[in-house]
This record gives sequence, structure tokens and C-alpha cells, in this order.
Amino acid sequence: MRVTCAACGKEEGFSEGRCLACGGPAPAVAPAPAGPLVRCPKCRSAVQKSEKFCAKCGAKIPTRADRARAMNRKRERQENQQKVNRGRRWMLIVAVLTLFQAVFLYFSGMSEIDKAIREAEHSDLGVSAAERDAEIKATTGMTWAELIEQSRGTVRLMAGIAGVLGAAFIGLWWWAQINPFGAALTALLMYVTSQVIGAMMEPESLLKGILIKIFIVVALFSAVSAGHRERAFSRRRA
Amino acid sequence: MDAPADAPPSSPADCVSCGRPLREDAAFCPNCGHRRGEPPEDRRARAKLRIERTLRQHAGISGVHALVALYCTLLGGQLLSFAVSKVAEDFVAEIVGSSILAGIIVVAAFVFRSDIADALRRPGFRAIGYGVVVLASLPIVGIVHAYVRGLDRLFHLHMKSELKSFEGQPLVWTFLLFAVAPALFEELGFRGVIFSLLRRSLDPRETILLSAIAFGLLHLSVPMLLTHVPLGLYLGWLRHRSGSLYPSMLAHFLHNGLVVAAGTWSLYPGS
Repeated sequence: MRVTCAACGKEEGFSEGRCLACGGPAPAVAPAPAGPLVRCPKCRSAVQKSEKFCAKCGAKIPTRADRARAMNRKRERQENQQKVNRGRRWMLIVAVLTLFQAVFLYFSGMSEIDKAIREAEHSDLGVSAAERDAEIKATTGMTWAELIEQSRGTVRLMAGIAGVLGAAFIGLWWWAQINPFGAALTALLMYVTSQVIGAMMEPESLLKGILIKIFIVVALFSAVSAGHRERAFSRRRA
Repeated sequence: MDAPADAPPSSPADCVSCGRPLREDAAFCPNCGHRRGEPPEDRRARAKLRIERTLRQHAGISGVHALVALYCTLLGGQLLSFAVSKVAEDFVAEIVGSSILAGIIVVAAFVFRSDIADALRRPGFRAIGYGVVVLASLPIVGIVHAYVRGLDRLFHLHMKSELKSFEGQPLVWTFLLFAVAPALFEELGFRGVIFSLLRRSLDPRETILLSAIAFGLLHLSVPMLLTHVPLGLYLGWLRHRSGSLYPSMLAHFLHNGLVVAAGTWSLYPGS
């Protein structure tokens, strides 16, 4: 649409705020440009397709590049969520396995102690109970009854530790819904630490199921990174 | 966009930010999104902010990766110390173990020196604050001691004191390895490097919680998590509150020192 000069009435156009025909001042208000219209994504008012921002609410009018970027971001968020969910699944699997281990440790440990007691009490080595107690006292500094109590206490403690770890992983699985990054990082540190403690007690245990262990560590590490990215994205939006 | 010096003065209908003419009914500039009637924004400052935000995000994720790597290295150090304890005398193994961990932490502190420089420069609290830290150490040690005794009795463990390995050695070694070294190096590692790496992307509360969990876990004792994690929370809070490493170093030293003093007293009464 051509704009008419208020001074001479001609439509010659304007340059540097002056009419090209008479040199009179250009109109103070810019004319509305013509062209195809689009809807503002925020206030739904009509906006020229060539404009970058909505003149009414200031919202950015998405270009094709913006839409492609938004799609990429959506895909990235979905991938992050998938990685976090995979991490959560592994947390639950570790929790269940550790709880089973707790039950197994308790019952197998107790039965082994009972078996050892039976063998010691019914052994036919020609040693009286008093002599046996004196020998135990001399080597361990504890009585026979104290030694049995200590062994049972150790088994209870070990099973209790495994139970607490299992419960902690269930707690982390739940926490990961609210704070995926914090929960995944705690789960990762807890898992690798429990493996190191296990290796100290029984070195060959480190290699048992090594592939699964590597999968768990990779999945948890991936959940940590995804949780962190997701967190940065949420903060940017806020 | 800066207007050229010889350009005519912009009319009230021009955008003050980009200089484009505005329609009468426009509340915002359709070219740059600037609100009509507001002073022009500093585009350089906006670009700088955007760059800073991107750099912060990268620093945050690299900080988390560095933290995981450091934690795993420290765990490896613990495993190595354990292997040494199997072949060497207890006393020698304790010295080697402490040296390995101290070495790893010193290297990490050097690598991330810019993150911890501020906490090392600040003095922390005033005298009264340090006095409160000293007073608080007594009930804390009491609670920890009661918990350990309770655990021992509940499970009939007849636990041996860790100080047994120092039997026959000068007392100064016990204090150096159990009280002074952990206070210096663990604090430099957990409240220094790990705290700063987490703080790059987390708020103070989460940073304190996660550094306390890492601190508790690295002591490799699940039952002692119940005392070490709260202790880590307290030390992390001291670090956050004071902005310095020294209050938490003092608190850690007092805690371990009192435990060593009580252990020494019970092991060697009258010493």
C-alpha cells in the first residue's frame, strides 16, 4: 500500500523521514504492512507473516527454524525422560535383588551357624565342653555362647544392611519422579560403593554378573546426565 | 542496533531499540519485540547473559561428570588401601591408605583450584561462631558414640577399636592420621571440590544433601551412614553458612579428635 504525503498529496514515497516529491515530513505512524496473516501463538491476534514479534503482546512469532528447534527440543526431552525411566527401572531391579539377597543372607547364614554349632557340639574329638570353651576363650577372648551370639549378630547385621540398601533403592526409585537428577546421582554413588564394599568382603564377587553391573552403572550414569539436562531446561523455562 | 550519527532524530513512533517505525496500535515492536515506551535495552548485556547461561550449563554438566569421576577415583583409592592392608602391617597400611586418599584429593583440589579458592580465602565465622562450633562438637560426639555402642550391643558384635592398629605407636601418629588428616583432606575433598562442583548447577540445599550422601557413602560402612550423613549435612551447612572451609575443618577435627581421645583413654587408661 502506498502512503500519501500529507503536504503535497503525492504517493512518491519517503526517504530519511522526508517526502521524495516535496521534502515534507513523513507521517509519524508507520502504515500497516500488507501480506499474509498468521495467528499469534499467545494472544491469537492477527499478525503479518513477515513480522517477527506480535505487536499486541510481544510474543515471538515462530519461524520455520523455531518450529524445527522446538521439535528437536521435544524429542530431546522425550529421550531424557526415557533415560530417566530406564534408570528408575534399574533402581527397582537393584532394590528387588538386594531385598532377595537380604532374605537369602539371613536364612543361609543362620542355617550355616546352626550346622556349625551342631557339628561342634556332636563332634567326637575326645574334647570336653569345658576344654573346648577354654580353648575358644584363649583364641577369641569370648565364651562359646558369646561367639555364637556374635556370629548370629553379624548375620543379622549383614542381612539388615542388605535390607536397608534395598529399601533405600526403592526410596530412590520414588524420589526419581520428583528429582531425577538427585535420585539418579545418589543411586549411582550408592551402587558403585556397594560393589566396592562387596569386593572388599569377597574379591571374586566383583566379577560375578559383571555385564549386568556395567549395564546398571551405564543406565544410572545416563539417567544422571539426562536428569541434569532436564533440570537445566526446566530452569530455563522458569 | 545503534542509529547512525547523522540520522534524523527518531520520531515517537519509531522503536527505540531497533529504530523501525511502529504502527499506531502496536504495543510492541514487530521487528525486535521491544515494548513501546520502555527505554532501549542493552543488547550487549543480553547477549552476554545468554553466553554466561550457556557456559554455566556446560560447567554444570561437566561438574557432575567430574564429581562422578572423582568419587570413583576415591573409591579406587579405598580399594587399593584395602589391598595394601592385606599385605602390610596395620600401621603401615593406615599411613599408605591415608596418603593415597590425600594424594587424590590434593590433585583434584589443584585441578579445580578456581572453584575452591574463594572458600580457602575466607576466614569463615567470627570468634563467637567458632566457639559455637567447638561447643557443638561435644553433643555430636556423644550421639555418635551412643549409636556405635548401641549397634555393638544390639548385634553382639564385640567391635574392636580402629585404634588397635596404633597400639605401641606414638600417640601423635594416631592424632595425625585419625584427626588432622581427615579434617584437612576430607574437608578439602567433600566440602571443597565436591561441594563446589555440585554448587555449579544445584541450589545450596541439594548441594549440602548430595555432598553429605557422598561423604557418608565413601566411608564404606552402611550402618555408619546413619551418623556420617547427618554429620556431612552439618559440615556442609557450616561450609554454606560461612562460605569458608575452615569452620567445617575445625568441626571435623574436633569430632575425630574427641573420638580418638575417648578411644585412647579406653584402650590405654591413664595415657
